[in-house]
Amino acid sequence: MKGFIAKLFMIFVLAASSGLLGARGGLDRHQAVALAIFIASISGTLFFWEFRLSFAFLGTCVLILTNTISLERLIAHASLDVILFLAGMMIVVGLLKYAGFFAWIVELILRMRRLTARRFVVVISFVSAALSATTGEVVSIIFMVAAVLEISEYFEIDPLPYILISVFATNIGSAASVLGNPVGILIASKSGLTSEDFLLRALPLSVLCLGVMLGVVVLWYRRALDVFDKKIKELGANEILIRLISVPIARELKLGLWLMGATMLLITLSHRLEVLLGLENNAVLMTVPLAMAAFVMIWKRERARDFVEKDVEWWSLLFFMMLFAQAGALQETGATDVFAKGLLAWARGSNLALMGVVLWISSIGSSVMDNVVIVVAFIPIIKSFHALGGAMEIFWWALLFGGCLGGNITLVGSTANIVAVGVLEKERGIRMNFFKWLGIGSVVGVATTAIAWGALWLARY
Amino acid sequence: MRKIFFKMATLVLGALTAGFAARNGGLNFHQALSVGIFSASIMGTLFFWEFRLSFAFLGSSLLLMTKAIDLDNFLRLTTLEVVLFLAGMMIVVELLKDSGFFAWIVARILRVRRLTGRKFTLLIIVLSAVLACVVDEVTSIIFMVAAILEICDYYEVDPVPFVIISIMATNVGSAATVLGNPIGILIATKAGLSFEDFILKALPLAAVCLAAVAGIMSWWFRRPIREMSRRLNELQADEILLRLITVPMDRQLRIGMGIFGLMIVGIALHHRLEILMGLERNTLLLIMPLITAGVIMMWKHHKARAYVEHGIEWWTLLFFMLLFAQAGTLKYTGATDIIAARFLDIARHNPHLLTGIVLWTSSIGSSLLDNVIVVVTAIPVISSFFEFGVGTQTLWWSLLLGGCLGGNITLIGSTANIVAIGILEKEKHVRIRFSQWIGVGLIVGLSTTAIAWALLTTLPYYRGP
Repeated sequence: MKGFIAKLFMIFVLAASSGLLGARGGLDRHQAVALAIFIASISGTLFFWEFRLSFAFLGTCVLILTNTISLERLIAHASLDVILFLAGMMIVVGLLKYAGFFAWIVELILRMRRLTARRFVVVISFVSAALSATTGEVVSIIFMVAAVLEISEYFEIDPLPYILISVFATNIGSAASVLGNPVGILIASKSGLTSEDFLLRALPLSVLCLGVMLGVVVLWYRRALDVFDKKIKELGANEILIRLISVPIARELKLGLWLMGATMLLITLSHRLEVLLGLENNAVLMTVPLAMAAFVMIWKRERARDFVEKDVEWWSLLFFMMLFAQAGALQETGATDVFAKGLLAWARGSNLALMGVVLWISSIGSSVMDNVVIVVAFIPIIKSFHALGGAMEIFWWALLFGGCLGGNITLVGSTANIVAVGVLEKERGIRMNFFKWLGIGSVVGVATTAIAWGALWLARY
Repeated sequence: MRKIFFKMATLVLGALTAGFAARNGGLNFHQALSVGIFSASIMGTLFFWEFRLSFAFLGSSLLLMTKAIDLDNFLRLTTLEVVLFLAGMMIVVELLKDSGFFAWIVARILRVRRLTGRKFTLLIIVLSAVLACVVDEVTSIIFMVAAILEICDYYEVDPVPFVIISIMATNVGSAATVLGNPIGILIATKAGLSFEDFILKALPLAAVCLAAVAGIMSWWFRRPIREMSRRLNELQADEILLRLITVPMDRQLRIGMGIFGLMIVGIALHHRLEILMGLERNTLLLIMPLITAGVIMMWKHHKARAYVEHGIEWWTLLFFMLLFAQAGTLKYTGATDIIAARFLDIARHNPHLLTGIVLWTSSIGSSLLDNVIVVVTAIPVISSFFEFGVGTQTLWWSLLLGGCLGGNITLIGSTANIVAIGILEKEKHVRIRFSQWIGVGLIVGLSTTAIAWALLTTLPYYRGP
């Protein structure tokens, strides 16, 4: 109870001081209030993770009560399109789960031919990255952890290195498409970047980062990999596993895969369809998951309600909605314009320096808090950069990669990490040490961010 | 499988007919399209109740794809503020449930001395109505039915008449405040009516209708009520039952009730506070449940997630959201303006006739459809009346009363009916037949609607702008 009150007090102090500082630094009353509330919400999520929604609700209400923003504008900033997109995708992924897609993937990994430690690492990295880019990082990591645990149990090796590698790959892969991470679709909806842009720019960069990550972990874990190789020689690879598991691909699964394929195809082509139909930007992108979810619910009608109630993460979505609205208030009051000006002055008007600032701040920032929080805070600031004119695109990519890559640095950097650590604790009773993670995590996180920085820098010229 | 295709074909055919009829009736392409899609969504809920959300999803996607409306306006028309209000209320109600509020209140009032059948009936009626208008009809009916079943079990009388009585009172009571029914807050938001307006205008109407219900019920069910009195006499003092249903007031419950009470006070005073704080109309009304939910989740933080995931009916809310947006599209394309103009031609600018039309169509309509659907359809039409300069507040009250009172007419007229019947079937394996309901339902539904009609058109109190 005492800790609780101390934390509450700390949030209050943090919020008040940031508000006051803001007011000193040239913000007007409304701007300062918006800033203080936003800070309070963020620190609320940091200190009270398990009921962060409460702070988001109360903060939003304070914004309205202080007349900082009207209810109507606040609702407009809630980005319901992003929320509905995520809900629709969660239903589609729910179907995949139900149809046994992930179990099938796990089995495929377990039946890998000519198994060696390094091959295993490469395969789980690419599968993790691909899964997370198509179905979202959280679902992907749950199944990857299951696969890794099974393999490591069979060969009696320490699963930790492989879990970490899978998590790293998941976070990196989530930057590759609009589907991988909530920040992806959020950036797409706010920046006007299309899913094709993601495919052309984000995907190659993310593959590059994946390669760098592989290099780093193979070096870092060389001893563990050698142990694994020795075990494989002793036990004669996974012959028994291969014989034990048979993978009949069910009709359900086939249909599910077609549905997922159609979804991804439509999402990829969404911009062309928009142009073809003469629709505004993102109109098709946002509606594809809804239409697909509708087909899912017609097909599996006896489970329709479960898809909506169990597979959609309403808790997180409600939190996102409030967070988006609060960041919108920051923008509406003009507070973010002030920050943008500050950043511009700091970078002395150089686009590239500015890009570096965005990338590194979002990377470091999302290592300590939810990357959605960071990205949401940055979006209006980047929008205010338009005063610069010229290419804005580079800032969006910097934000996306910062937000996703930074998640690797610490144990709590992204939802995938938290989920993986949770599963490990529950299934094997292994408690992950914060500093153990930080060692390899910071090397991977910083190296990949640096590579992204370099690549974005080069792409500029 | 065959049946599904048949239903689908009917749905598509019905939607196409509605669209083409609208096109021939002078609507342009987008207007006709929005009419067609909206009717497809409604038919989807009628034919495929258990996965109605699919049709709402598909219909919304179609509207966007065909450029009947753009994404921004569509999102605005989802009326997210009402959805969040309902979500907040559901969290609050979940807390009340959790802390034993309903069990306590039911037990408390049933501990009346010298109970007779008539007194019991009256108690059920008043209690159902009050609970329905401060919490919401679905929650209220769940607890009322549970209490009635327990008591009827004890005295060994048939629970069905009393369950029907409770349902009727619940539906009437839900019209009395903004909180009783989703259509209440919806109308309040769209019409700019405050909680006070509801207390001043809707509450008296609901009270009069409730009195009528009490009269009709004690006549219609005179035999079961007499039987109940006889049993009560036989078993004399209800000491054992009293002990059976005593719920002690603990600290949790007290705090929970305190929070709930504060919220009600806040909602009651919302209009005055808004003026005081210089806020826009109904802002405070809409965010009051969110504030309360925020406080509740902080207090019960280990249960916060469960409240949000299990307490909130996401399935229904998502459906509402898209339904609101689709109905809003009707307005956006201008389809409802044309429909409103047709109505005006029929009513020949006679406000009384217009009131009657709104009241009766919404009453009869919501006896067959979910009342939210009826109200959502009618709202843009009524807003168009305002644009033509013939709108009055009376029209909103007609819509509200019609939507709530019509629910009594049939077995499936409102969610409360469906829920109560479901419980009865599950717990007691008693099926209320359609014919068993329709007699009393028609009498109650039609007579209360007639009373509301008479009051709304004759009393000068309800005229005015």
